[in-house]
Amino acid sequence: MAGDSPELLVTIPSVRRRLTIAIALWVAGLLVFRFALVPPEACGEADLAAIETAIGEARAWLEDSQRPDGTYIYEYDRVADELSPDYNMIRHAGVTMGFYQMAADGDLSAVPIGDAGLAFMLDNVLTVDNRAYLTFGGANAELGSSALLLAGLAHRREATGDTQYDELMNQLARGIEGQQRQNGGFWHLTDAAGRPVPDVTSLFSNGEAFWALLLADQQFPEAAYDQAAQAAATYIATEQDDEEDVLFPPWASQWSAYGFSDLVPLGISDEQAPYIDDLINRFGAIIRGGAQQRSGGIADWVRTGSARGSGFGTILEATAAMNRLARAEPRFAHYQEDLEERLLCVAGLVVTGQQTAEVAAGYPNPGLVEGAWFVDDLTRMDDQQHHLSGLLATRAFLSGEDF
Amino acid sequence: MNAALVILILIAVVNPARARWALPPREGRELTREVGSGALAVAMAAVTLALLATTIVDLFGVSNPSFRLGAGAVMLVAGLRTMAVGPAKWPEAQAGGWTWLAPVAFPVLFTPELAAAAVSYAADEGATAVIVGLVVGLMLTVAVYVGATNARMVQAVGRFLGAIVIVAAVVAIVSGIRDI
Repeated sequence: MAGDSPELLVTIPSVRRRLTIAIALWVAGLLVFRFALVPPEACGEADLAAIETAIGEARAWLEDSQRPDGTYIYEYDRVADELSPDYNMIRHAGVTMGFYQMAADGDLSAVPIGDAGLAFMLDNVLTVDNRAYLTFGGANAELGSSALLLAGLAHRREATGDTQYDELMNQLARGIEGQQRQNGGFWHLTDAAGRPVPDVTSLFSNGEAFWALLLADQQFPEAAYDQAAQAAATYIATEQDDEEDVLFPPWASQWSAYGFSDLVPLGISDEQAPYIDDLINRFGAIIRGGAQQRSGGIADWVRTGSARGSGFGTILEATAAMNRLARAEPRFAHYQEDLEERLLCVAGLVVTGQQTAEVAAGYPNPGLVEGAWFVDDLTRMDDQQHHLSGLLATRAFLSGEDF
Repeated sequence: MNAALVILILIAVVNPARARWALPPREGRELTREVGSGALAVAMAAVTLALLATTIVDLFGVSNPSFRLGAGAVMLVAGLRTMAVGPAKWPEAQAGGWTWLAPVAFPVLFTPELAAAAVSYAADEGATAVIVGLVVGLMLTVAVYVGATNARMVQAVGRFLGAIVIVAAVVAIVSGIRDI
Protein backbone atom coordinates (compact mmCIF):
# COMPACT_ATOMS: atom_id res chain seq x y z
CA MET A 1 0.00 0.00 0.00
CA ALA A 2 1.12 3.57 -0.63
CA GLY A 3 3.40 4.95 2.07
CA ASP A 4 3.86 1.68 4.02
CA SER A 5 7.34 0.98 5.44
CA PRO A 6 8.99 -2.32 4.56
CA GLU A 7 8.47 -5.24 6.97
CA LEU A 8 11.34 -6.23 9.22
CA LEU A 9 12.35 -9.58 10.68
CA VAL A 10 10.63 -10.05 14.03
CA THR A 11 12.53 -11.08 17.14
CA ILE A 12 10.79 -11.79 20.45
CA PRO A 13 13.65 -10.31 22.52
CA SER A 14 13.19 -7.03 20.60
CA VAL A 15 9.52 -6.79 21.56
CA ARG A 16 10.32 -7.66 25.17
CA ARG A 17 13.03 -5.04 25.32
CA ARG A 18 10.77 -2.36 23.93
CA LEU A 19 7.96 -3.38 26.27
CA THR A 20 10.31 -3.14 29.21
CA ILE A 21 11.27 0.34 28.13
CA ALA A 22 7.61 1.27 27.67
CA ILE A 23 6.75 0.04 31.17
CA ALA A 24 9.72 1.91 32.63
CA LEU A 25 8.61 5.09 30.88
CA TRP A 26 5.09 4.65 32.22
CA VAL A 27 6.37 4.24 35.78
CA ALA A 28 8.64 7.26 35.44
CA GLY A 29 5.83 9.26 33.93
CA LEU A 30 3.49 8.29 36.73
CA LEU A 31 6.02 9.45 39.31
CA VAL A 32 6.47 12.78 37.53
CA PHE A 33 2.70 13.11 37.26
CA ARG A 34 2.25 12.36 40.93
CA PHE A 35 5.01 14.40 42.48
CA ALA A 36 5.54 17.25 40.05
CA LEU A 37 2.22 17.80 38.30
CA VAL A 38 -0.38 16.61 40.81
CA PRO A 39 1.09 16.58 44.31
CA PRO A 40 -1.46 16.05 47.07
CA GLU A 41 -3.27 19.00 48.61
CA ALA A 42 -2.17 18.84 52.24
CA CYS A 43 -4.66 21.02 54.10
CA GLY A 44 -4.16 20.08 57.74
CA GLU A 45 -6.90 19.85 60.34
CA ALA A 46 -9.19 22.76 61.23
CA ASP A 47 -12.01 21.82 63.54
CA LEU A 48 -13.68 24.31 65.86
CA ALA A 49 -11.47 23.40 68.81
CA ALA A 50 -8.27 23.92 66.84
CA ILE A 51 -9.55 27.23 65.50
CA GLU A 52 -10.51 28.42 68.98
CA THR A 53 -7.05 27.59 70.25
CA ALA A 54 -5.41 29.37 67.33
CA ILE A 55 -7.55 32.48 67.89
CA GLY A 56 -6.64 32.56 71.55
CA GLU A 57 -2.93 32.24 70.90
CA ALA A 58 -2.88 34.83 68.12
CA ARG A 59 -4.79 37.26 70.31
CA ALA A 60 -2.39 36.61 73.16
CA TRP A 61 0.61 37.38 70.95
CA LEU A 62 -0.88 40.70 69.83
CA GLU A 63 -2.13 41.62 73.28
CA ASP A 64 1.24 40.86 74.87
CA SER A 65 3.00 42.82 72.14
CA GLN A 66 1.06 46.01 72.84
CA ARG A 67 3.10 48.77 74.43
CA PRO A 68 1.82 51.40 76.91
CA ASP A 69 1.45 53.93 74.09
CA GLY A 70 -0.90 51.59 72.24
CA THR A 71 1.49 50.53 69.52
CA TYR A 72 2.31 46.88 68.88
CA ILE A 73 5.52 45.02 68.09
CA TYR A 74 5.94 45.67 64.39
CA GLU A 75 8.25 42.90 63.28
CA TYR A 76 10.33 40.28 65.09
CA ASP A 77 13.25 38.13 64.01
CA ARG A 78 13.16 35.00 66.12
CA VAL A 79 16.66 33.81 65.31
CA ALA A 80 18.40 37.12 65.93
CA ASP A 81 15.88 37.89 68.72
CA GLU A 82 15.52 41.42 67.37
CA LEU A 83 12.59 43.77 67.12
CA SER A 84 12.35 45.95 64.05
CA PRO A 85 12.45 49.71 64.73
CA ASP A 86 10.05 50.29 61.83
CA TYR A 87 6.40 51.06 62.18
CA ASN A 88 3.44 51.37 59.85
CA MET A 89 0.16 53.10 60.60
CA ILE A 90 -1.89 51.12 58.07
CA ARG A 91 -0.88 47.91 59.78
CA HIS A 92 -1.46 49.44 63.19
CA ALA A 93 -4.98 50.41 62.12
CA GLY A 94 -5.49 46.91 60.77
CA VAL A 95 -4.39 45.21 63.96
CA THR A 96 -6.60 47.49 66.05
CA MET A 97 -9.47 46.71 63.69
CA GLY A 98 -8.80 43.04 64.38
CA PHE A 99 -9.53 43.53 68.07
CA TYR A 100 -12.76 45.34 67.23
CA GLN A 101 -13.69 42.49 64.88
CA MET A 102 -13.23 40.21 67.85
CA ALA A 103 -15.49 42.43 69.87
CA ALA A 104 -18.12 42.47 67.13
CA ASP A 105 -17.92 38.68 67.16
CA GLY A 106 -18.95 38.73 70.81
CA ASP A 107 -15.74 39.09 72.82
CA LEU A 108 -16.07 42.52 74.40
CA SER A 109 -12.90 41.98 76.42
CA ALA A 110 -11.07 42.88 73.21
CA VAL A 111 -12.43 46.44 73.29
CA PRO A 112 -9.97 47.91 75.83
CA ILE A 113 -7.04 46.49 73.84
CA GLY A 114 -8.43 48.02 70.69
CA ASP A 115 -9.07 51.28 72.52
CA ALA A 116 -5.43 51.49 73.53
CA GLY A 117 -4.49 51.11 69.88
CA LEU A 118 -7.16 53.62 68.96
CA ALA A 119 -5.73 56.19 71.36
CA PHE A 120 -2.43 56.11 69.46
CA MET A 121 -4.30 56.73 66.20
CA LEU A 122 -6.43 59.55 67.64
CA ASP A 123 -3.22 61.44 68.38
CA ASN A 124 -2.43 61.24 64.66
CA VAL A 125 -5.72 62.30 63.11
CA LEU A 126 -5.65 65.34 60.82
CA THR A 127 -8.95 67.18 60.46
CA VAL A 128 -9.47 69.62 57.59
CA ASP A 129 -12.84 71.08 56.53
CA ASN A 130 -14.82 68.48 58.47
CA ARG A 131 -12.88 65.66 56.85
CA ALA A 132 -10.44 63.48 58.75
CA TYR A 133 -7.32 61.58 57.74
CA LEU A 134 -5.03 59.32 59.72
CA THR A 135 -1.45 60.46 59.36
CA PHE A 136 1.85 59.23 60.73
CA GLY A 137 5.17 60.86 61.35
CA GLY A 138 4.36 64.05 59.46
CA ALA A 139 4.08 62.29 56.13
CA ASN A 140 1.11 62.52 53.80
CA ALA A 141 -1.87 60.60 55.09
CA GLU A 142 -2.29 57.19 53.48
CA LEU A 143 -5.79 56.26 52.42
CA GLY A 144 -5.49 52.74 53.82
CA SER A 145 -4.78 54.07 57.30
CA SER A 146 -7.93 56.18 57.34
CA ALA A 147 -9.94 53.36 55.82
CA LEU A 148 -8.87 50.74 58.36
CA LEU A 149 -9.35 53.19 61.21
CA LEU A 150 -12.90 53.75 59.98
CA ALA A 151 -13.41 50.01 59.55
CA GLY A 152 -12.23 49.41 63.10
CA LEU A 153 -14.52 52.09 64.50
CA ALA A 154 -17.45 50.62 62.58
CA HIS A 155 -16.85 47.23 64.17
CA ARG A 156 -16.45 48.89 67.55
CA ARG A 157 -19.75 50.73 67.17
CA GLU A 158 -21.41 47.53 66.05
CA ALA A 159 -20.05 45.68 69.09
CA THR A 160 -20.67 48.27 71.78
CA GLY A 161 -23.39 50.59 70.50
CA ASP A 162 -21.10 53.42 71.64
CA THR A 163 -21.67 56.52 69.51
CA GLN A 164 -18.86 58.71 70.86
CA TYR A 165 -16.83 58.39 67.66
CA ASP A 166 -19.71 59.03 65.25
CA GLU A 167 -18.44 62.46 64.26
CA LEU A 168 -14.94 61.15 63.62
CA MET A 169 -16.31 58.23 61.61
CA ASN A 170 -18.30 60.53 59.35
CA GLN A 171 -15.29 62.80 58.95
CA LEU A 172 -13.16 59.83 57.97
CA ALA A 173 -15.80 58.67 55.49
CA ARG A 174 -15.98 62.12 53.95
CA GLY A 175 -12.20 62.17 53.79
CA ILE A 176 -12.26 58.90 51.87
CA GLU A 177 -14.93 60.23 49.56
CA GLY A 178 -12.74 63.27 49.01
CA GLN A 179 -9.97 61.00 47.73
CA GLN A 180 -12.24 59.33 45.21
CA ARG A 181 -11.60 59.98 41.54
CA GLN A 182 -14.22 60.33 38.83
CA ASN A 183 -13.75 56.73 37.71
CA GLY A 184 -14.48 55.45 41.23
CA GLY A 185 -10.85 54.72 42.13
CA PHE A 186 -8.96 56.64 44.80
CA TRP A 187 -5.90 58.77 45.24
CA HIS A 188 -3.73 57.10 47.86
CA LEU A 189 -2.25 60.13 49.65
CA THR A 190 -3.62 63.31 51.22
CA ASP A 191 -1.40 66.29 52.00
CA ALA A 192 -1.44 68.40 55.17
CA ALA A 193 -4.01 70.73 53.64
CA GLY A 194 -6.42 67.91 53.03
CA ARG A 195 -5.85 67.78 49.28
CA PRO A 196 -5.37 64.54 47.35
CA VAL A 197 -1.82 64.07 46.13
CA PRO A 198 -2.27 63.40 42.42
CA ASP A 199 -0.83 60.52 40.44
CA VAL A 200 -0.35 58.20 43.41
CA THR A 201 -2.68 55.24 43.69
CA SER A 202 -2.60 51.94 45.54
CA LEU A 203 -4.11 48.55 44.81
CA PHE A 204 -4.47 47.88 48.52
CA SER A 205 -6.08 51.15 49.52
CA ASN A 206 -8.73 50.91 46.79
CA GLY A 207 -10.13 47.80 48.42
CA GLU A 208 -9.68 49.17 51.94
CA ALA A 209 -11.54 52.35 51.07
CA PHE A 210 -14.30 50.44 49.27
CA TRP A 211 -14.93 48.26 52.29
CA ALA A 212 -14.68 51.10 54.81
CA LEU A 213 -17.31 53.11 52.94
CA LEU A 214 -19.66 50.14 53.04
CA LEU A 215 -19.13 49.70 56.76
CA ALA A 216 -19.78 53.42 57.26
CA ASP A 217 -22.94 53.13 55.20
CA GLN A 218 -24.13 50.28 57.43
CA GLN A 219 -23.70 52.51 60.48
CA PHE A 220 -24.93 55.75 58.88
CA PRO A 221 -27.28 54.87 56.03
CA GLU A 222 -28.66 58.40 55.91
CA ALA A 223 -25.24 59.70 54.82
CA ALA A 224 -25.46 57.66 51.59
CA TYR A 225 -21.86 56.45 51.55
CA ASP A 226 -23.16 53.55 49.46
CA GLN A 227 -22.96 55.62 46.29
CA ALA A 228 -19.22 56.11 46.64
CA ALA A 229 -18.91 52.45 47.63
CA GLN A 230 -20.77 51.29 44.52
CA ALA A 231 -18.58 53.49 42.33
CA ALA A 232 -15.50 51.98 43.98
CA ALA A 233 -16.86 48.47 43.47
CA THR A 234 -17.45 49.06 39.77
CA TYR A 235 -13.99 50.60 39.40
CA ILE A 236 -12.36 47.63 41.09
CA ALA A 237 -14.40 45.21 38.98
CA THR A 238 -13.85 46.88 35.62
CA GLU A 239 -10.83 49.19 35.56
CA GLN A 240 -8.46 48.73 38.48
CA ASP A 241 -6.43 45.78 37.22
CA ASP A 242 -5.79 47.43 33.85
CA GLU A 243 -4.97 50.81 35.35
CA GLU A 244 -2.59 49.30 37.89
CA ASP A 245 -1.01 46.92 35.33
CA VAL A 246 -1.84 43.81 37.33
CA LEU A 247 0.06 41.04 35.55
CA PHE A 248 -2.33 38.21 36.34
CA PRO A 249 -5.73 39.67 37.14
CA PRO A 250 -7.76 39.74 39.24
CA TRP A 251 -5.76 41.38 42.01
CA ALA A 252 -6.33 39.00 44.91
CA SER A 253 -7.35 41.53 47.53
CA GLN A 254 -9.05 40.37 50.70
CA TRP A 255 -10.25 43.95 51.23
CA SER A 256 -12.14 43.80 47.95
CA ALA A 257 -13.49 40.41 49.01
CA TYR A 258 -14.76 41.89 52.28
CA GLY A 259 -16.27 44.73 50.29
CA PHE A 260 -18.08 42.62 47.72
CA SER A 261 -19.43 40.38 50.45
CA ASP A 262 -20.82 43.37 52.33
CA LEU A 263 -22.12 44.84 49.06
CA VAL A 264 -24.67 42.03 48.62
CA PRO A 265 -27.50 43.75 50.55
CA LEU A 266 -27.08 46.84 48.36
CA GLY A 267 -27.02 44.80 45.17
CA ILE A 268 -24.24 43.49 42.94
CA SER A 269 -24.43 44.73 39.39
CA ASP A 270 -24.01 42.71 36.20
CA GLU A 271 -20.84 44.71 35.62
CA GLN A 272 -19.36 43.61 38.94
CA ALA A 273 -20.44 39.96 38.91
CA PRO A 274 -17.84 38.55 36.47
CA TYR A 275 -15.04 40.04 38.55
CA ILE A 276 -16.40 38.38 41.66
CA ASP A 277 -16.45 35.09 39.73
CA ASP A 278 -12.80 35.63 38.91
CA LEU A 279 -11.96 36.52 42.51
CA ILE A 280 -13.61 33.39 43.86
CA ASN A 281 -11.73 31.24 41.39
CA ARG A 282 -8.48 33.06 42.11
CA PHE A 283 -8.64 32.53 45.86
CA GLY A 284 -9.60 28.89 45.37
CA ALA A 285 -6.71 28.30 43.02
CA ILE A 286 -4.28 29.98 45.43
CA ILE A 287 -5.45 27.68 48.19
CA ARG A 288 -5.03 24.57 46.04
CA GLY A 289 -1.55 25.63 45.05
CA GLY A 290 -0.62 26.47 48.61
CA ALA A 291 -1.92 23.14 49.87
CA GLN A 292 0.09 21.30 47.23
CA GLN A 293 3.16 23.28 48.15
CA ARG A 294 2.69 22.35 51.79
CA SER A 295 2.58 18.64 50.94
CA GLY A 296 6.34 18.84 51.00
CA GLY A 297 8.93 16.70 49.30
CA ILE A 298 9.49 17.41 45.67
CA ALA A 299 6.28 19.43 45.54
CA ASP A 300 7.86 21.98 47.82
CA TRP A 301 10.92 22.11 45.58
CA VAL A 302 9.06 22.21 42.30
CA ARG A 303 6.66 24.92 43.38
CA THR A 304 9.12 27.46 44.66
CA GLY A 305 8.54 30.38 46.97
CA SER A 306 6.65 30.77 50.22
CA ALA A 307 4.07 33.44 50.82
CA ARG A 308 4.59 36.04 53.54
CA GLY A 309 3.31 34.78 56.88
CA SER A 310 0.20 36.88 56.41
CA GLY A 311 -0.36 35.32 52.99
CA PHE A 312 -2.63 32.50 54.05
CA GLY A 313 -4.29 34.77 56.59
CA THR A 314 -5.40 37.18 53.90
CA ILE A 315 -6.58 34.29 51.75
CA LEU A 316 -8.53 32.93 54.71
CA GLU A 317 -10.17 36.32 55.23
CA ALA A 318 -10.99 36.56 51.55
CA THR A 319 -12.33 33.03 51.25
CA ALA A 320 -14.51 33.47 54.31
CA ALA A 321 -15.88 36.66 52.78
CA MET A 322 -16.57 34.96 49.46
CA ASN A 323 -18.15 32.07 51.33
CA ARG A 324 -20.57 34.52 52.97
CA LEU A 325 -21.22 36.12 49.60
CA ALA A 326 -22.01 32.80 47.93
CA ARG A 327 -24.52 32.01 50.65
CA ALA A 328 -26.19 35.39 50.40
CA GLU A 329 -26.22 35.98 46.63
CA PRO A 330 -27.94 33.33 44.48
CA ARG A 331 -25.78 34.12 41.45
CA PHE A 332 -22.81 32.61 43.25
CA ALA A 333 -24.61 29.82 45.10
CA HIS A 334 -23.04 27.18 42.83
CA TYR A 335 -19.69 27.95 44.47
CA GLN A 336 -20.89 27.10 47.98
CA GLU A 337 -19.61 23.55 48.13
CA ASP A 338 -16.21 24.36 46.68
CA LEU A 339 -15.86 27.48 48.80
CA GLU A 340 -16.60 25.58 51.97
CA GLU A 341 -14.01 22.99 51.02
CA ARG A 342 -11.42 25.65 50.25
CA LEU A 343 -12.24 27.57 53.43
CA LEU A 344 -11.65 24.54 55.60
CA CYS A 345 -8.47 23.77 53.66
CA VAL A 346 -6.95 27.21 54.12
CA ALA A 347 -8.10 27.27 57.75
CA GLY A 348 -6.21 24.02 58.20
CA LEU A 349 -3.14 25.53 56.58
CA VAL A 350 -3.39 28.52 58.89
CA VAL A 351 -3.84 26.44 62.03
CA THR A 352 -0.93 24.13 61.22
CA GLY A 353 1.27 27.11 60.33
CA GLN A 354 0.91 28.74 63.73
CA GLN A 355 3.94 28.29 65.95
CA THR A 356 3.37 26.03 68.95
CA ALA A 357 4.94 26.16 72.40
CA GLU A 358 7.14 23.21 71.49
CA VAL A 359 8.54 24.99 68.45
CA ALA A 360 8.87 28.27 70.33
CA ALA A 361 10.96 26.63 73.04
CA GLY A 362 13.79 26.28 70.56
CA TYR A 363 14.23 30.04 70.16
CA PRO A 364 15.80 32.70 72.37
CA ASN A 365 12.47 34.35 73.18
CA PRO A 366 9.71 31.74 73.08
CA GLY A 367 7.08 34.25 74.18
CA LEU A 368 7.46 36.13 70.90
CA VAL A 369 7.29 32.98 68.83
CA GLU A 370 4.39 30.99 70.25
CA GLY A 371 1.10 31.87 68.65
CA ALA A 372 2.61 33.72 65.70
CA TRP A 373 3.16 32.87 62.06
CA PHE A 374 6.65 33.13 60.59
CA VAL A 375 8.23 33.10 57.18
CA ASP A 376 12.00 33.10 56.92
CA ASP A 377 12.09 33.49 60.73
CA LEU A 378 10.25 36.83 60.57
CA THR A 379 6.81 37.70 61.84
CA ARG A 380 4.99 41.01 61.55
CA MET A 381 2.01 42.30 63.45
CA ASP A 382 -0.33 42.13 60.50
CA ASP A 383 0.61 38.46 60.02
CA GLN A 384 -1.19 37.80 63.28
CA GLN A 385 -4.05 40.17 62.46
CA HIS A 386 -4.88 38.65 59.08
CA HIS A 387 -4.80 35.13 60.45
CA LEU A 388 -6.85 36.18 63.45
CA SER A 389 -9.48 37.94 61.35
CA GLY A 390 -9.71 34.97 59.03
CA LEU A 391 -10.03 32.51 61.89
CA LEU A 392 -12.76 34.59 63.52
CA ALA A 393 -14.74 34.47 60.29
CA THR A 394 -14.18 30.74 59.93
CA ARG A 395 -15.26 30.08 63.48
CA ALA A 396 -18.40 32.10 62.89
CA PHE A 397 -19.18 30.08 59.77
CA LEU A 398 -18.62 26.74 61.47
CA SER A 399 -20.76 27.90 64.39
CA GLY A 400 -23.55 29.10 62.09
CA GLU A 401 -23.15 32.72 63.14
CA ASP A 402 -23.06 35.94 61.16
CA PHE A 403 -19.71 37.66 60.96
CA MET B 1 -18.69 21.50 28.84
CA ASN B 2 -21.35 19.89 26.70
CA ALA B 3 -21.39 16.15 26.18
CA ALA B 4 -20.69 16.32 22.44
CA LEU B 5 -17.47 18.19 23.08
CA VAL B 6 -16.37 15.66 25.69
CA ILE B 7 -17.05 12.82 23.27
CA LEU B 8 -15.09 14.54 20.52
CA ILE B 9 -12.14 15.15 22.83
CA LEU B 10 -12.06 11.54 24.00
CA ILE B 11 -12.20 10.29 20.41
CA ALA B 12 -9.28 12.58 19.61
CA VAL B 13 -7.37 11.30 22.65
CA VAL B 14 -7.98 7.68 21.59
CA ASN B 15 -6.90 8.71 18.09
CA PRO B 16 -8.44 6.04 15.82
CA ALA B 17 -5.53 6.43 13.42
CA ARG B 18 -3.12 5.22 16.06
CA ALA B 19 -3.31 1.47 15.48
CA ARG B 20 -3.00 1.76 11.70
CA TRP B 21 -0.16 4.24 12.16
CA ALA B 22 1.81 2.24 14.71
CA LEU B 23 1.26 -1.37 13.70
CA PRO B 24 2.17 -3.34 10.56
CA PRO B 25 -0.44 -3.05 7.81
CA ARG B 26 -3.17 -5.64 7.68
CA GLU B 27 -2.31 -8.72 5.68
CA GLY B 28 -5.04 -11.22 5.37
CA ARG B 29 -6.83 -10.79 8.69
CA GLU B 30 -4.10 -11.73 11.15
CA LEU B 31 -3.57 -8.54 13.15
CA THR B 32 -7.18 -7.51 12.79
CA ARG B 33 -8.08 -9.98 15.52
CA GLU B 34 -5.27 -8.61 17.69
CA VAL B 35 -6.36 -5.04 17.17
CA GLY B 36 -9.96 -5.94 17.88
CA SER B 37 -9.06 -7.81 21.06
CA GLY B 38 -6.66 -5.14 22.15
CA ALA B 39 -9.23 -2.40 21.62
CA LEU B 40 -11.77 -4.36 23.64
CA ALA B 41 -9.29 -4.78 26.49
CA VAL B 42 -8.43 -1.09 26.44
CA ALA B 43 -12.11 -0.17 26.36
CA MET B 44 -12.71 -2.24 29.49
CA ALA B 45 -9.74 -0.70 31.28
CA ALA B 46 -10.57 2.85 30.27
CA VAL B 47 -14.25 2.50 31.15
CA THR B 48 -13.19 1.21 34.56
CA LEU B 49 -11.01 4.27 35.01
CA ALA B 50 -13.88 6.55 34.04
CA LEU B 51 -16.27 4.86 36.44
CA LEU B 52 -13.72 5.11 39.25
CA ALA B 53 -12.63 8.65 38.35
CA THR B 54 -13.82 10.36 41.52
CA THR B 55 -12.22 7.69 43.66
CA ILE B 56 -8.96 7.97 41.75
CA VAL B 57 -8.87 11.74 42.11
CA ASP B 58 -9.58 11.35 45.83
CA LEU B 59 -6.75 8.81 46.09
CA PHE B 60 -4.43 11.40 44.62
CA GLY B 61 -5.57 13.71 47.42
CA VAL B 62 -6.37 16.60 45.11
CA SER B 63 -9.36 18.50 43.84
CA ASN B 64 -10.68 18.14 40.29
CA PRO B 65 -9.00 21.28 38.90
CA SER B 66 -5.61 20.14 40.22
CA PHE B 67 -5.98 16.75 38.54
CA ARG B 68 -7.21 18.45 35.38
CA LEU B 69 -4.04 20.52 35.28
CA GLY B 70 -1.91 17.40 35.39
CA ALA B 71 -4.04 15.59 32.82
CA GLY B 72 -3.83 18.61 30.56
CA ALA B 73 -0.04 18.57 30.78
CA VAL B 74 0.05 14.89 29.83
CA MET B 75 -2.34 15.52 26.93
CA LEU B 76 -0.27 18.47 25.75
CA VAL B 77 2.93 16.44 25.59
CA ALA B 78 1.10 13.61 23.85
CA GLY B 79 -0.54 15.90 21.34
CA LEU B 80 2.73 17.59 20.50
CA ARG B 81 4.43 14.22 20.08
CA THR B 82 1.67 12.99 17.82
CA MET B 83 1.93 16.02 15.61
CA ALA B 84 5.71 15.89 15.50
CA VAL B 85 6.58 12.22 15.09
CA GLY B 86 3.41 10.20 15.55
CA PRO B 87 3.13 7.15 17.80
CA ALA B 88 5.99 4.72 18.36
CA LYS B 89 6.02 2.13 15.57
CA TRP B 90 5.87 -1.60 16.20
CA PRO B 91 6.70 -3.14 12.82
CA GLU B 92 7.87 -6.32 14.54
CA ALA B 93 4.44 -7.14 15.92
CA GLN B 94 3.16 -10.50 14.70
CA ALA B 95 -0.18 -12.17 14.83
CA GLY B 96 -0.86 -14.70 17.58
CA GLY B 97 0.28 -15.16 21.13
CA TRP B 98 -0.05 -12.17 23.38
CA THR B 99 0.24 -9.56 20.65
CA TRP B 100 -3.33 -8.38 21.32
CA LEU B 101 -2.11 -7.40 24.84
CA ALA B 102 1.41 -6.26 24.03
CA PRO B 103 2.10 -4.24 22.04
CA VAL B 104 -1.44 -3.64 20.73
CA ALA B 105 -3.37 -2.93 23.95
CA PHE B 106 -0.25 -1.71 25.73
CA PRO B 107 1.44 0.51 24.84
CA VAL B 108 -0.10 1.31 21.44
CA LEU B 109 -3.74 1.84 22.42
CA PHE B 110 -3.61 2.35 26.20
CA THR B 111 -1.66 5.58 26.43
CA PRO B 112 -0.89 7.97 29.31
CA GLU B 113 -3.10 10.64 27.77
CA LEU B 114 -5.98 8.20 27.46
CA ALA B 115 -5.75 7.22 31.11
CA ALA B 116 -5.37 10.81 32.30
CA ALA B 117 -8.17 12.15 30.12
CA ALA B 118 -10.56 9.33 31.03
CA VAL B 119 -10.16 10.09 34.73
CA SER B 120 -10.10 13.87 34.47
CA TYR B 121 -13.08 14.34 32.16
CA ALA B 122 -15.12 11.72 33.99
CA ALA B 123 -14.42 13.39 37.33
CA ASP B 124 -15.43 16.78 35.95
CA GLU B 125 -18.26 15.94 33.55
CA GLY B 126 -19.49 12.52 34.61
CA ALA B 127 -18.63 9.13 33.15
CA THR B 128 -21.30 8.78 30.46
CA ALA B 129 -19.94 11.07 27.75
CA VAL B 130 -16.41 9.87 28.48
CA ILE B 131 -17.38 6.23 28.06
CA VAL B 132 -19.22 7.01 24.83
CA GLY B 133 -16.17 8.83 23.50
CA LEU B 134 -13.81 6.03 24.50
CA VAL B 135 -15.95 3.26 23.01
CA VAL B 136 -16.63 5.13 19.77
CA GLY B 137 -12.97 6.02 19.46
CA LEU B 138 -11.83 2.43 19.93
CA MET B 139 -14.43 1.11 17.54
CA LEU B 140 -13.20 3.60 14.97
CA THR B 141 -9.67 2.44 15.69
CA VAL B 142 -10.55 -1.08 14.58
CA ALA B 143 -12.48 0.23 11.58
CA VAL B 144 -9.58 2.40 10.46
CA TYR B 145 -7.12 -0.44 10.91
CA VAL B 146 -9.29 -2.73 8.80
CA GLY B 147 -10.42 -0.26 6.17
CA ALA B 148 -7.73 2.40 5.67
CA THR B 149 -5.71 1.97 2.52
CA ASN B 150 -3.70 5.20 2.40
CA ALA B 151 -1.04 5.45 5.09
CA ARG B 152 -0.38 9.12 4.42
CA MET B 153 -4.06 9.93 4.87
CA VAL B 154 -4.05 7.97 8.11
CA GLN B 155 -1.11 9.97 9.39
CA ALA B 156 -2.75 13.25 8.38
CA VAL B 157 -5.91 12.35 10.26
CA GLY B 158 -3.84 11.22 13.21
CA ARG B 159 -2.01 14.52 13.31
CA PHE B 160 -5.26 16.46 13.02
CA LEU B 161 -6.61 14.59 16.01
CA GLY B 162 -3.36 15.36 17.81
CA ALA B 163 -4.02 19.04 17.19
CA ILE B 164 -7.45 18.69 18.79
CA VAL B 165 -5.81 17.06 21.79
CA ILE B 166 -3.42 20.01 22.06
CA VAL B 167 -6.27 22.52 22.08
CA ALA B 168 -8.18 20.48 24.66
CA ALA B 169 -5.01 20.22 26.73
CA VAL B 170 -4.46 23.97 26.79
CA VAL B 171 -8.06 24.55 27.87
CA ALA B 172 -7.65 21.95 30.61
CA ILE B 173 -4.40 23.47 31.83
CA VAL B 174 -5.78 27.00 31.91
CA SER B 175 -8.92 25.98 33.75
CA GLY B 176 -6.87 23.76 36.05
CA ILE B 177 -4.81 26.78 37.02
CA ARG B 178 -7.71 29.22 37.16
CA ASP B 179 -10.62 27.36 38.66
CA ILE B 180 -11.59 27.19 42.30
